[in-house]
Amino acid sequence: MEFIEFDSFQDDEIAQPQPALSISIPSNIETLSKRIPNLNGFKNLLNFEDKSSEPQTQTIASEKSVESDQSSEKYAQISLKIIDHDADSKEVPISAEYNLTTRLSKVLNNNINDKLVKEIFNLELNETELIDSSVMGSLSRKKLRSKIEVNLIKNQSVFLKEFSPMVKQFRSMDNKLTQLNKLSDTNNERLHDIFQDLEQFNKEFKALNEQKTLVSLKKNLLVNFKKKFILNEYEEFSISSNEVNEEFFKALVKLDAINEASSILLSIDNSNLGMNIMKKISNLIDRSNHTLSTFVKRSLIYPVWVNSDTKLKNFHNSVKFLKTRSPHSFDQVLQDFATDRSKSLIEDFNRQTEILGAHDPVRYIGDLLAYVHSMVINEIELMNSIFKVNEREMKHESFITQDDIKMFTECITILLDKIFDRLSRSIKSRFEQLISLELKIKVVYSIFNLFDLYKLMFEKNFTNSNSLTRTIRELISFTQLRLFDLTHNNLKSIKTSNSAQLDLNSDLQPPEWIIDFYSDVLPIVEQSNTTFDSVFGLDEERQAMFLSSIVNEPIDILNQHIKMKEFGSLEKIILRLNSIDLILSKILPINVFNDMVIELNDLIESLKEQAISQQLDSLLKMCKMYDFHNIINMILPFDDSFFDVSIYEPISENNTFNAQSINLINDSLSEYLPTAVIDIQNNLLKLNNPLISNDIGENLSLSFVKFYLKFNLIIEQYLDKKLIWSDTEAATLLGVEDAYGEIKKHLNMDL
Amino acid sequence: MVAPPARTCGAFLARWVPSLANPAGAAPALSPSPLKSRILPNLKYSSFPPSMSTNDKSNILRKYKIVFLGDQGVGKTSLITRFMYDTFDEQYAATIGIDFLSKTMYLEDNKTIRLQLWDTAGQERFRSLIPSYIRDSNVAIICYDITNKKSFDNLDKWISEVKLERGEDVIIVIVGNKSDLNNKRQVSAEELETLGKSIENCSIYLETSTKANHNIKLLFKKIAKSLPEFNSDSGAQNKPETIDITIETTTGGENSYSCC
Repeated sequence: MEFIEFDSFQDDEIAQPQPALSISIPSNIETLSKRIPNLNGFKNLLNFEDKSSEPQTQTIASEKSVESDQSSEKYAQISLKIIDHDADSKEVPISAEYNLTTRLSKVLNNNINDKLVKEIFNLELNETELIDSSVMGSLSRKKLRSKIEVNLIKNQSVFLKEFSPMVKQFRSMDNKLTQLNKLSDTNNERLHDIFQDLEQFNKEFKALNEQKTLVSLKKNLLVNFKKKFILNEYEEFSISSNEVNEEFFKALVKLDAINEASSILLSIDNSNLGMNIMKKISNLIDRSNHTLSTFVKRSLIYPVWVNSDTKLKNFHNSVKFLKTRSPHSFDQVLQDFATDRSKSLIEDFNRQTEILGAHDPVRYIGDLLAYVHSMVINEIELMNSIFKVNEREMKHESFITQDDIKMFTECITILLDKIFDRLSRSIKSRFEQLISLELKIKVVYSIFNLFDLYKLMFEKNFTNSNSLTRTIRELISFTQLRLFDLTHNNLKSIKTSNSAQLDLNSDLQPPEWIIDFYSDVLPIVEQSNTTFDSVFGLDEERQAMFLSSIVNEPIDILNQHIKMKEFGSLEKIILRLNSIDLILSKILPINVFNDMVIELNDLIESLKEQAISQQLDSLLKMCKMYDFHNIINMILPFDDSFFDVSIYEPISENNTFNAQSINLINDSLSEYLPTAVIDIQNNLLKLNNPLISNDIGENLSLSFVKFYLKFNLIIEQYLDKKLIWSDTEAATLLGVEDAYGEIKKHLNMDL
Repeated sequence: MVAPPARTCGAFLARWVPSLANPAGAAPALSPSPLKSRILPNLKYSSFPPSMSTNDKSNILRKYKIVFLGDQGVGKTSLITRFMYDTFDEQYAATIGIDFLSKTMYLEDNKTIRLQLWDTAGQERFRSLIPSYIRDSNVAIICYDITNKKSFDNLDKWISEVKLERGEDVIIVIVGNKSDLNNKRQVSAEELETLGKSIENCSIYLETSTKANHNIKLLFKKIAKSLPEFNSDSGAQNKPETIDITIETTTGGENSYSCC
């Protein structure tokens, strides 16, 4: 038995309408009734579409099939709805579809047993006859056979009769379908034609579209080319109109962009285009550069616009573009501006030198320096007002970048350097001239002080490398040299001066020129030493040289002048002592002279020794002891630390060493020694410093007494005689008894 | 007011753009706005360029030189600092030489002046520089410390110095600073008034405190009122240096404010 298989679905599966069943009626027509016991129901199912138009079919169905009909109709309607709404909605009533499938399965797959088949075909069988092997049996079997066949035919006829309306319907449908097919063919043909037309249209459309793309590409290229390589009329006008404004700078930006990109045009097939564009651009660039250069130059001549933000912005933009596009022109403009400014300032300065009164050189230079200071301040303010980019300018849309701001700052520095460079030279030459003409050390020192103060102030405003700061430093050096020169020249003129020599007279006082010289020099040395770290800010070596020159040179000159005078040796010593003592007293309070003070003290000591020696000789001569003093010193010079009379025994061999000589000495001593102190004091009376005078007197007396003591011992030893006075008495007569008493305690002599 | 030719920088002043006739206005209120103005240099040209517009000419900024004098430590620098930056530094730092600061003041009725403030050092070492700066000043502000009688006594010396340099062609202003230290006062307000009245061309004398910001703006307002441009009596005398200044009307009101 053949079975028709149907899909079965689970409850949650989505069921779709099944295709129409294909039942092979002709081949299975004999067994159809067996297979399909509920055929009527199935027929109703198949004819559900014609149910309303052909009600006669319903009459065939039994009551049971009526019920089945209703169900089938219900299922069919659900199916139709599904079909109708298939396009509108994908959702399918799952339960209806499921029910239809289930029912069809039940109808078509029921098992039919033999008994039921017998009932269906109304077979009343006599099985005995049928199985009889006789003719009767054969007849019975044939009869059964024909009966079955008749029955079958009958059944088939009935069955087929039922299909007759369907056949009619199919035929009617066949016509309609044929017409439909024809219509379909016609439509197909028309569709084919339309399709062909459409295809043609598409081809043309595609071609046109491609053409359009090419055209728009070309258009875009041209537009971009125009944008990139060609200025519009307005932009050209903006550049050519010589008016510097926002539009001009926008056009410049484009012009520069074209210029930058135009080299690529030379590589295209038609290089003439590139050449022409480049030529035009080049002309415009030259023209715009000229406009910029003229504008910047003109703006700098009369910078009356600096308080207009718009004008200032235009100026800054112009400077920026000029520097970028034509650095040479930019440098030239700046150079011209700096030259004009410095020329103007120099004229002002020179005029000022004529206006100001020069009767007081220090005040005159001070006023000039103050004027220069004002000029410097004004110039800095001017440069800042012209070139400094303010915050307001940067707030709005601006061509100025941070790099440009840096460039403007550099511009200010460069300009100020250039302007002040020339001005500095003028200032320097003028001041050097003034300083060179000045002969007074004090005045030059005051000028030096002024320069030093202005150096401090200029260094606050400028860098060390600035020409003005440099010039001030050079002027300070120049003034230092001038102070050296003036000092040296002053001494040089004193050296050759007759009046200076005439200053030296018998009063043995220091010459006037020494007083004048130190009155000039020392106050400024002292003042500069307190103001600066060193004298005039000189380095150690130069300071030592300067200090040495202002101490030693006058002493040398004095010595030369003294040599030329016919003074006695003591007078010369006293004159030198007086002068050196004066110098020492002058330099002593100034601590930078400490080394020189030591030197001068040594010199004074040396001169004192000379004076003592000279006065001792004189005293010995007056006491007739001078020759014996020499003889004894020839044998062995006296030493305070050691004395032995026996050493001086050789003196007894001297012819002059006799009692007669000693008597003469005693006579002289008794006559002269009591008044010797007055003589010594008279000789040293012209010494200005009483300490030196006292020192010389005391030391020479002590020297005399010490000799006196030793000489007396020698006489006693070898002549058995004595001097008129004891050593203590001699000391008392010379006024040094106390000092001698102290010394005698320490004398190491074998008395 | 024209300084004697031999002792002034008259030529320097004259080469600045000449001052224009200026009607005396009402009492101006001061509006400091340091960022607004820029300075025109002492141009070498004796007149405006022909191309200069009337607008350009009408914006000539007058520049006045004010020199601050007085003994060391009386508060000259702090007075300037308070005026310029509205700050006060407790730390004392002696001025070296001569310091310079400038400030543009925007006044009511669109008048603008530029004040160049020259701050002198009180130290004796720098004393020799000062006469050269007094020489071409329009105003001399002489300061003393109300807690230091000596600084008040020395005012005579400073006034003499100013008169020696400028004669009567200067506005002398006497300022008694440190008025916040009333408990240490050594100079009374009456003494200041007596001195102020006794000096011929001293129309302004007042006590200030830079620390407490007392009377500073009033001081400069009074000075501005007494300056030649705003004083009809002064006429064409003592023309100050002039500087061009153009104020854009679009931004003019933003940064100006009345300080008095």
